[in-house]
Order: sequence, then structure tokens, then C-alpha cells
Amino acid sequence: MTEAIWILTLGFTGMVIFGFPFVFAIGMAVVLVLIAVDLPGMLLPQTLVASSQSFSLLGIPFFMLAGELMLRGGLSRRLIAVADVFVRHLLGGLGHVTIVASCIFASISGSAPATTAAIGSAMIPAMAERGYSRAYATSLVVSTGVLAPLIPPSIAFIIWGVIAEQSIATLFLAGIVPGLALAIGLSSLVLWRAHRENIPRLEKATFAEVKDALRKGIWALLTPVLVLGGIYGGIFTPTEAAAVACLYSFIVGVFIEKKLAWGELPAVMLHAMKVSAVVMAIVAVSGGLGVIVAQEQLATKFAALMGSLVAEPWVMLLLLNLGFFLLAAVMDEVALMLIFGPMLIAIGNQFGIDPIHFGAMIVTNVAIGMATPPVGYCLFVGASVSGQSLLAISRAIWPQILVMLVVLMLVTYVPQFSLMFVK
Amino acid sequence: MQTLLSVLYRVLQRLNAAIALLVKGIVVLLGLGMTLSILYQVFMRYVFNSPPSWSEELALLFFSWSMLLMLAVGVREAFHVRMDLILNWLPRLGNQLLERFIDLCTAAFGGYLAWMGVEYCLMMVGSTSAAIAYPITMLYSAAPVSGVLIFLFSLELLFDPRRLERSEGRS
Amino acid sequence: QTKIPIKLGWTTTDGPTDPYAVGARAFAKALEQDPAGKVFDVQFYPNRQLGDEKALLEGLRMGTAQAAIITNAVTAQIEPAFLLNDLPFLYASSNQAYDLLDGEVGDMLAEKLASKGIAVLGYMGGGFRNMINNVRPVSKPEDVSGVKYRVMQSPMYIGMYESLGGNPVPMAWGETYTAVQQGALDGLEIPLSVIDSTKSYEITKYLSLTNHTFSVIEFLFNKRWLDRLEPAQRDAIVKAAEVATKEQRIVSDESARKLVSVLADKGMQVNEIGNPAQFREKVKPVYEKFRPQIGAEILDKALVEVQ
Ligand code: NA
Ligand code: NA
Repeated sequence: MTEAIWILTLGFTGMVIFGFPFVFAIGMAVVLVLIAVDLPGMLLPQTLVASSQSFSLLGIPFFMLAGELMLRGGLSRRLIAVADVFVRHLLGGLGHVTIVASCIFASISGSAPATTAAIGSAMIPAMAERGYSRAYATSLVVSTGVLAPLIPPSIAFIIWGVIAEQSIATLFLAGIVPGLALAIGLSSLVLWRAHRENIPRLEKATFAEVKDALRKGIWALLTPVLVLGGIYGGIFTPTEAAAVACLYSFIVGVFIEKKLAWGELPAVMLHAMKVSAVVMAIVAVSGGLGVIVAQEQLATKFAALMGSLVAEPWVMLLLLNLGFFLLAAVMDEVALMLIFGPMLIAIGNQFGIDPIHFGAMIVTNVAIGMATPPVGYCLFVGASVSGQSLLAISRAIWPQILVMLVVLMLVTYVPQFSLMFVK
Repeated sequence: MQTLLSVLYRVLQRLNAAIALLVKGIVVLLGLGMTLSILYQVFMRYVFNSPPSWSEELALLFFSWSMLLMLAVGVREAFHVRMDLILNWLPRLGNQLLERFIDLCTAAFGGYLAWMGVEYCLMMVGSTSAAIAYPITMLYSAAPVSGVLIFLFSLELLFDPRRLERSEGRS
Repeated sequence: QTKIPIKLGWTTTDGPTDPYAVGARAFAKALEQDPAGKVFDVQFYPNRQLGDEKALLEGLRMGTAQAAIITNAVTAQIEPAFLLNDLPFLYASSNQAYDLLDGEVGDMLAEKLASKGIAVLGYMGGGFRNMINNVRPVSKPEDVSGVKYRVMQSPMYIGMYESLGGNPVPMAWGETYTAVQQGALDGLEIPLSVIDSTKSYEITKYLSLTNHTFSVIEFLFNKRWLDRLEPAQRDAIVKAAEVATKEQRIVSDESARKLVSVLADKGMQVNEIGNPAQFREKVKPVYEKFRPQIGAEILDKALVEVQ
């Protein structure tokens, strides 16, 4: 019992700090605990396989593949062009283009790093050309990546739905308002900055330009209609919707846009499987953790402890927000959800928090972590797309992080915020 | 001694390169298979009102295999996410020692997974899946295979004489 | 003297009428009352604390748990002969199921499972599975057709609906509730207790007591662990399991009876099916399909006994 706790806290933290990949830090901690508390080692292969046997999680590679097909099929550029003709003339124009384009891409892609990559590869150079600092442009793109896990579909919500046994379709709905609120918050920041720095405005798009962008962008714009319409029209489950989105973006990319060559397809598939495996590897090794937590009844003990220390639900929520924010800064966010999932659910039950509202809060917290220095998927992608150092991006991103924290507070303390479209 | 090691390393390196290529090819096919299987399910349900009973289970079988295979490939291609602050901060010798230690631990993990995976599969002989009734060892053997690959790939990293710094792992 | 722990897992709640929990508590109580059973400390792990049923059952084989209460369909994944119990319209009443399983057929099944390292110490009851939907009540096989029912992704249930002429939609449980609510599905097949615990009466109108599958629940032990006990201790466990099984059956049957009126009070329109034989005739192809997996000897013996 005590050995298990030492290994899971100190041992795991030590491995992470000394540079063990998160997946192996978790895996090795699991093995050490199994040996220490004399549980059968066969639990490792059993949980490794069993935790990936989930139809909901199968949506992850499909959403990754759909996003990758969109990107390589030229659809993300079409989306940016649509955003461009509508908002570029506003004060802080290209900033708004980035945000709007990210919102649309987020309603196709469930992945924050994929959204950062898709939007960043086009928008960072465009903004730099217009005189924005590259560090700022990158930091903005990194923060719009956070929209992807909030606006449905969302891989983070899929994983939370599997952990908390909640309907993924319902959880998706809970992310809409938080996502839009974040987009509005980021836009306000862009406005304020453009005003302060006196950034010149771009000329308004002509009607012909608007028409052209819409005509070329229509196939891309129809994707969210297909995916979300399919899920909420009761036609597909989220996983099936993701598979259908793959077929759709394949057809558009290969036959309509003609940007995707057949020969490219294996590489596209392999890339989707690789980025899925980055997430799924952590899901798989964390399965063993679940067994240990259950065997040692850590979740109920932890929840009871928290219950005895904290009486007010709002204090509890604030502590969770703060703890998650700090942990998500340095941890892999998926691992964070999986490791603390059972404890969190026990706490949520104890304080009588609506499970969907609770899920929205956790996912918002986790999404913010993806852009919070020093460790975050969006940061890494932003750095590699723009060539900027993590340090430079980290310095530029703080105002956006503050906006995200405001959204997090709204999600946490105004349940209607996440539950508006639910029920 | 030095030359013997470097010959052994070269053999391992070539073997692993071939294995990794093969594995990635298989993963692409598995990915294709699971996509088609779910699309077929949607199609049969809406067009013929007669959903297949095997599609989900087959897709999940491919899913588990592909993810565990890619988990191992991630060792060789260093795409698993990690925190490299300390590694970058350390002087070169310290960095090298720590990196090799991580490789050694990873190899041990792979070996343990392979060993326990085989034991588990032996125990599960005779059990079948719920829908297709395929032998369940077909699914669970993904674990020992992944373990063997993790072992081989991290052994290669461990003995790589030229590698001074592993590229930063990220997605 | 330290007690010998018995980790006893199940995946449903530990509520007072939950058929799994009733069995677990009855066992703990019976064991405690036996002087030879005092050496044991029965620890409950409800609510999927040890994982889902498949993981729990595999954990039982590995020794992470000593005992578990498991739904028959999951046991059948380890030992296909148990598919017998899930054959649609096999049992006309719970007593018929109990009689069959307390007799030679039950022993034959247990013997098969023993070779996989698991001992069956009792066949408990989980009530019948029934059909609920929003289109029309089911009283004859034809009523099933044209109505979209969610089923588990299992060839048994898909086969049952297909041979009745219906449209089974295999779907994960997590998405089912929303799908019925939104009208993508018309109904599902489900045990009575689950209709109540999941509030499925809020999303469906008709409850037809098709009694198509009797949900057998097995009380299982890690055989190696059991074999290593002293004979007196083992006897205490076997006896307590017998007492618990008897008590569980009574409570479970009684609560199934009560549930029908509870669900009617909650607004469900309840009906009984006219002639079960009509249904059984229709699903004959399913019996034949599973004959090889169940084993001809067990199936034929069972069919003679439930005539
Ligand atoms: Na999204
Ligand atoms: Na972070």
C-alpha cells in the first residue's frame, strides 16, 4: 500500500523529470507497483490491450486521419481563405483570421496539435509578412489550438467520456460555449493589442472575393455539417461520424480538390496512426494504473480525504482548477486525465457535481494545459512549425493564458455555460 | 571487442530498420482495415438495415494491434512525449549516461512486457471473442509482440555509437 | 490471527436490490455465521472497481481477485459452452433455469470451466431480459419487425432479432441512451432492473415482457486459491455460496416481480407476450448456429429438460 503510493508519486515524478517519456514513466511505475504489492505481472499485457478495446477510443485515429486528409487535401487552406475574406479588414485582421479559421478547423478536427499545425503552417508566415512578430504570431496560433478540444469533435472529451462513462455525444455539446467564449476572448485580446500597437488595417474583401472563397471553401465548410449533423441527427455514433469524415475528406481531397495523390495516402495514414499512438500509448499503459488504484481503493480514500479537508464545493473546484493548471503545465494532459480520473470522479460524486459540467471543466482545464509552458503539445507543434524557441513563445503567450483562465472560471462556476446545449 | 560490438550493432540496426518498415506497412493496412470495416457497418445499417455483427470487433482488433505496434515504433523514432529540461541542461557526459539509462530501463520494460505477455496469452488459450469468436490470443499477442519490439528498438538506441543526442520527442 | 482476505468483485452498484450485490452480501453473511468461515474477511469491490466484467473475470484467473459475480455472457467468452444460457426463449421461467443448472447440465458446464481455472459455486438469477421501445408493444414475433432495437454486439442477440424479422442495431451502451432519446433508435432489449437503474422508462413507452433471455449470473472463484484452502475452510465457502445462491434467487425473483409494477407506475405501458412457443420456433436457427460452440451433448440434454 505505502510502497505503491511512493512509487506512483516520487518514482513516477522522478522518471518524468529525468526525461523518461511519459508513456514509459507510467508503464514502469505500473510494473514496479505490481511487483511491490505482489500483483500478477500479467496485468500489464492484459490492461495494455484491454484499455484500447473501446469503440469510443477508436474515434481517435479516425478524427486524426480526417484532419490529416483535410490538411493534405488542401481543405485547411480553403478554410483560412473563407475566414480571411470575412474578418481580415477588422482591427487586428490577421489575428481574427487565425481565430476564425481555427474555430472552423476545430469543428472538423478533435486534436489540438493538429489544429495548431494546420493553421500555423499557413498563418504564422502570413502574419510575419504583415509585420507581426513571429513569436506573437506563434503564440496566437498555439492558443487557438486550444479551441480544438473544446469545440466538437474532441479527442479530450472522447477520453474523458471513456473514463467517466458519460455519453461522448453529450459531452461534445458541453464544449461549444466554452470554445466560443475562448474564441471571443482571444479576439478581444487581438483587438486590444492591434489598437495599442496601431497595426494598419487590411482592405475589405470585395464581393467577388467573398464569393470565390465560399465557392472554393464549400466542401471544407460542409465537413462539420456532416460530422456534427450526423452525430446529433442520430445518424452516426461519434466514432462512425469520424470514419465517415475520413471517407468524405478522402473523396474531396482526391477527386474534387485533386491535391491528394494516391501515392501519398499510405504516408497520410501512417501519420494519423502515429499521432494517435502518441495518445493511445498513454491510454494503454494507464490501464494498469486503473487496476492498482482500484485494488488499493485509492480513489475512494483520496476523495474521502479531500472531503474531510474541504467542505465547500466551490473551494474544491477551485483547488482542482489550480492543481490541474499547475500539473498540466508540466505533464502530458492525457496522462493527467487518466491518472487522476478515478479520484476526480469520486470527488465529483461526493460533491454532487453534474457529470457533464464536471467533464467540461476537466477538459477545459486540460485543453489550457496544452498551451501552458513549459510542456504542451500545442507549444511543441507551434515551435516546430515556426522555428521559434519555446522560451520566446512562452513569453508571448501569457496574456492568452490569462484569457483562458477567465474562461475556465466561467466554465467552473457558471454551470449553464457548459450545459446550455445539453438536454 | 570494440569491433565486435560495432558489428553486432550494425546487424541489429539493419534488422530493426527492416522490422520497423514492415511494422509501419502493417499499421497502414490495419488502419485501412479498421476504417473500411466501420464504413461498411454504417453503409449496411443505413442502406440494407442489416448491420454486420463483426465490424466493430474486427476494427477494435486492428486498433489494438496498430496502437501497440506504433507504441514500439515510437521508441525507435523517439516520438513519445517527454520532458527534456534536465536532459538539455546536463553536460554531454551526464546527458549520455542518463539517455543510456533510460534506454536500458525501456529495454527491461519491453522484455518484461514480452515475458508477461506470453504467459498471459498461454493462460487465455481456449477463450474466444464475443462477436466473431476468434481466439482471444489473436488479440492479446499484440502485447508480447510490442514488448519484443520495444526491447529490440531500445537495445539499438542503447548501443548506438554515433548517437549523441536523441532528437526531442514530440508528436 | 490475521484473516484470509476474499476480494469479491462485481460491476454493478451495491444497492439494496441489485441482484449482484444481493448475492455478495448474502455470501458474506452466510460465511460469517459459519464457525469455520470466521477466518475469512470478505471485501466487496462493486461498481467496476476491479474493471469491467471481462477484466474482472481475467483478474480472477490471474488471482487479483478470489471471487466474482459475473454475467453469463462474459463467462461464455472464457468457456463457450455457457452460451447455452443465453439462447433466446430457452427458459420459460426462472425456476426452470435454476432446476436445469442445479442438475447435471449445470455440473457439466462447471466442469468445463474448472479446466480454465475457475470454479462455479452458484448459478444466481438476474431476471429476464425484455424488450422496450417507442413504436408498438410486442406480443407476437411480427411486432418486432420494422422497429430498430439496440443490441449488444453479440451474434446471439443479432441472430435473435434477425430470425424474428427485426432490425438489430449493435451499439455501445454509452451511446444508446442518447440515440433512443433522439429517435435514432426505437428501443432496446434489457433486464428489468436496468430499465429502472438507468431510468430508461423516461425514454421508452412500451415494456413488453418477452422474457427472451434469462440472465444467469455465476458466482465464481479462483479454483487454485480454493483448492489450496484447508478442507474445512473450503467447505465453509462452498456451503455459504449455496446459502447465498438460494437467498439471492428468492430476492432477485421477488424484485423482478415488483419491478414490473414499479415500471408500470412510472408510466411504462406493460404487456405480456401471447405465446412464447411461437417465438421459440422462430429463433430455431440461432440454436443450430450455436450448437457446435455449446456442444451437442449439453444442448440436447438441456433441450430435453426444458421441454
Ligand atoms: Na474540435
Ligand atoms: Na502544459
